[in-house]
Amino acid sequence: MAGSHTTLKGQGYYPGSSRQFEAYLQLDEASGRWSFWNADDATMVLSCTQDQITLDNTAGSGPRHVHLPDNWLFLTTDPKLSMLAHEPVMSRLLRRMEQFHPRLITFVIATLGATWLVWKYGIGILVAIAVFLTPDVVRTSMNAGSLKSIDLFMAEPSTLETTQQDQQRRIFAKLAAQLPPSDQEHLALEFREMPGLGPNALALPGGTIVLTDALVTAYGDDEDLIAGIIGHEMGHVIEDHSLKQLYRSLSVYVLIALIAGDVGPILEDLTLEGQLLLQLSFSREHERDADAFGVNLVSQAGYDPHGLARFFEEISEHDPDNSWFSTHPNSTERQDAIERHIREHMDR
Amino acid sequence: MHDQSHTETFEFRGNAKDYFGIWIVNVLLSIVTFGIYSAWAKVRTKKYFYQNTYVAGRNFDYHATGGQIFKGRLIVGAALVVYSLLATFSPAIALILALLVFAIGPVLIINSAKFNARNSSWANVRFNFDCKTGDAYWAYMAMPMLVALSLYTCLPFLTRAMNRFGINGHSLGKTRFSFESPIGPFYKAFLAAAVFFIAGFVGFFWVIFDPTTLHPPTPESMVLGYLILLPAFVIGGILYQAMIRNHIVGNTKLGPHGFASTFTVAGLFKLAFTNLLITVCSLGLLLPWAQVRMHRYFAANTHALPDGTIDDFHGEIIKDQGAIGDAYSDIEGIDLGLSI
Repeated sequence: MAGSHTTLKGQGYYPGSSRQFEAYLQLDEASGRWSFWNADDATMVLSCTQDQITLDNTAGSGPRHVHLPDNWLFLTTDPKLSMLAHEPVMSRLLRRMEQFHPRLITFVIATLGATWLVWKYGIGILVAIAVFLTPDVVRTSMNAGSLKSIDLFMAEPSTLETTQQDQQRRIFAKLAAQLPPSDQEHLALEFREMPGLGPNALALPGGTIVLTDALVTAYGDDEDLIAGIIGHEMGHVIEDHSLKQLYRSLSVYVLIALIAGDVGPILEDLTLEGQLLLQLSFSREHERDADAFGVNLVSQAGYDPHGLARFFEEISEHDPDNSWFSTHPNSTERQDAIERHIREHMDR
Repeated sequence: MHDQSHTETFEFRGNAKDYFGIWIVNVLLSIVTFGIYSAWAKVRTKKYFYQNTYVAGRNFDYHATGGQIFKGRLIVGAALVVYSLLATFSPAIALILALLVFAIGPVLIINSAKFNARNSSWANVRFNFDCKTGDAYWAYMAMPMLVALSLYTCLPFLTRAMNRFGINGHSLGKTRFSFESPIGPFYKAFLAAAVFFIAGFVGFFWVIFDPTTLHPPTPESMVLGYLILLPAFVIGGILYQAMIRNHIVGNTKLGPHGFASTFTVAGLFKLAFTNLLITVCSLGLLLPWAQVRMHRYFAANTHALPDGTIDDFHGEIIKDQGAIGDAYSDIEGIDLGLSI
């Protein structure tokens, strides 16, 4: 009594061997059993149930590999195999999407769009999550480590008079008082002699702000200017800029390595260089944000917000020619941006 | 069963039309999943290229799963993040960790080679890789240092050592690959390439420094200089690769079977140049076509010389390895550096 059965023709391999033979796989529709036959001598090799065969996740066209019990292998190009072997829907859908078809154009457009979106927002979200998950102890340790490195390589103890330092500490305290207590407890002020930096200030990730002796000597009596600078540095601390930059460069690097791994060596190099340029523009954005924060803070504390703009006017002659490769925006730009911010948000 | 004592040229039966869909879906899904899908994308790409490469009527296959690759990448990724954070805490700890990773480099290379070999097969027989750990340290740590000390004049020895190590460690089932060669042909290739490099430099300096007047270089002469230097370097590099590859493949044996390679400088140069044009002019969208063209050229210029039957390869059914070594070399871009 012959039930109806479907036959798939192909090649077979002996278990773990390169010995090949003409073969066919037959499905008895009534019982749902598969039988595997050697076509060269018309003998049955084995018979098994549906769940004993494994379909390979082939990509593209070409023969499908069917793994049978006891490590027998069957290859066939017969398209009926997919339905008969109950290939999972997701697998079939994926192969369908990969076929050459006008809808691939939509995929290309979607890819270009997705790339832009990730660049603009996705990384920001990843970084925000990472910053949120970072425990405070990381920031305090980074702070201590950075201060030690600075003292080791770039700074000498301050040569300022105590009275000079106290003057700046009063400004510092007045500004800090404007912030919520939870932010205040991390802030600290240090003074250092830093020959290479001129009049400058640094913000370390945990809240320590360093003023150079040159800054205090040159502008110490201009309280509004000093307040502007300290406010700017407090902006860096409150908005976690150091941590954000670190995570951003980490995540961009890992993402490029993972995705561009598939894209090929030339493009990978180009994107890595592009990433560096983007990093710089990101840090310039941080500087502008800190400027805005500083202006708001000093204004709240009762200082004149034009002080910071004055500072940039003074140092603009020391700027490098091209701001593309700089971590800081051009000083004239910053001065203009501050004046604009004051005009738009305050009535001075 | 049939004896074959003639040349079997490798064949790549895939095409850009087929592969483009796979590639674009890979890239789109990888971006949309922030890189998570890229582990599965890598497997699909390898499967496509392996399963469409034939020799003697039988194709290759790749068996790793996206899950294995992903797990390996997670571990390596987490380690990198921890390392970066530690580096900001204490540069001293970071330095020690970096030295540790450098010290176990050869072990990661072995791990990666084992993972890739055991997850690749031809005609239903899996490849394998095994070697003495000491040999890996010799080829990938001791020799590079010696070569650097010799100011790179001993580079051919390093090329030979790496290829010897890599090829002799591989086997197809229970049949081992073997490679042996005197150092002469390696130096021949090295010197041929050096001729081009030196000619390039001489031409470059001749053009930018006019020896009679000793004027400083002008922008025009710099451009002309680079137009001489760059092609000289590219051709020298290609010449080295082609000569080395042809020689190594020609001296590799798998049991009694031999191999041959017919790369030419003209062929490789044409391929590389046109691929670069294709990729750049399409802003990377035609990259899959460039990859297919490259595979086709490699396959068409690689030949097997069977001596006896090819039906009797067989091996044990090997358990799969973990994928950490493979994931590390993925992200850091290191591999065996074989010239095949």
